[in-house]
Amino acid sequence: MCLLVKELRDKLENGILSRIYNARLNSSAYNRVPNTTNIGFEYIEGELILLNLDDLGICASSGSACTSGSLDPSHVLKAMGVPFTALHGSIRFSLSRYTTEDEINYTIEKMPEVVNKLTALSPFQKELKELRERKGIV
Amino acid sequence: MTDKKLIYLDNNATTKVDEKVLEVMLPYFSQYYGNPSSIYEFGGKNQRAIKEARETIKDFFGARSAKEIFFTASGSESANMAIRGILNADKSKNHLITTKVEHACVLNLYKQLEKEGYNVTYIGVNSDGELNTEELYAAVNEKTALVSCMYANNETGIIFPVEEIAQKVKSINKDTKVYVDAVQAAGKIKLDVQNTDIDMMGISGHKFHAPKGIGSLYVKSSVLLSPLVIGGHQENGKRAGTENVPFSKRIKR
Repeated sequence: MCLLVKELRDKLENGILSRIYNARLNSSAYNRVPNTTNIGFEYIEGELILLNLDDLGICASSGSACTSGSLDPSHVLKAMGVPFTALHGSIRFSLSRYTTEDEINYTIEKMPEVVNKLTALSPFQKELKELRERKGIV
Repeated sequence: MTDKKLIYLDNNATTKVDEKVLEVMLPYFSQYYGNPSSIYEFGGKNQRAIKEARETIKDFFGARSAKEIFFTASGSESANMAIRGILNADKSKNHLITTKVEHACVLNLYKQLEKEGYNVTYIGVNSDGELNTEELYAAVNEKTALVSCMYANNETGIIFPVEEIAQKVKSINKDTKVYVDAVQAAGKIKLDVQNTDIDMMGISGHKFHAPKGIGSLYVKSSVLLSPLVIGGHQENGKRAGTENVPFSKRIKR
């Protein structure tokens, strides 16, 4: 059961990281529970990603911000020293044994649309251009 | 309004109740609703239902005895019962250690304890979210009453080496107690407390397909804990209040 959840989690993680240039895995530690991934999207707002995902029927979380009712970034990611540029755009996806491959495929398909739309609106275009250049994307 | 698509990828927040879990719980609301403390069979049989549930949870924790298992209402209550329970049972030590990345239910309790005069050391993590364990061991001293460390982090999923931490902490100060918040580990990785030095471990049912409103706390039989809720004799005098029979029945399928 856990293997399947882990496979789907890894598929989602790899799918997002390979399709979105301003996505970064916040922890690549090997020793993780099989259902969780936390990904930072640089230079955009996590809450906006969540609202856009909600419109598509996808429920995810930006860590502790939603429960604390404040706009403070996650104390966990702060303690890890996640750069400021990704701290506010970090999203946690957590799967369960009910998660299906179709759901993961749909999420992988929609994430670039959502992120690219928000990235285009980001006030940090100069930094984004530098990021693309660093990654060899023209 | 048409039914919106629902892709639920927030299972560290809460989970869907397993249909089979619900099925087993339902009769205890309107059919077998007796008070487990009542003398007659209609109530008494619910005492047995709780006993069976406690055995199931004992196995789930990998605990030695069902006497080490207490039902609570949530992961937050488990943490409060464990941490306050230890401090109230022995007031001779005033130093506590926890991590900077604990869940709010533990972190905010420690902030409160600081206001009440306790000294708290918060241990950091590296850029991958892994705990600086050497920093933790260096912080343990003769005044350290308790170390609490989560098993898996709710935001990153990182697993902390809690068994090793408990063992090492005890080797530095055998009287220091160790509480593990296993809310995000339960149902995802196998728990096996009995051959470890972990003194207490808390879990919450709704994180792994049981309903909201039920949790559990493991307390090693050698550990003395003061009760948080005083009243009746329920839960061996450690947590007063009429037992939540249907929920206890199905914290774990």
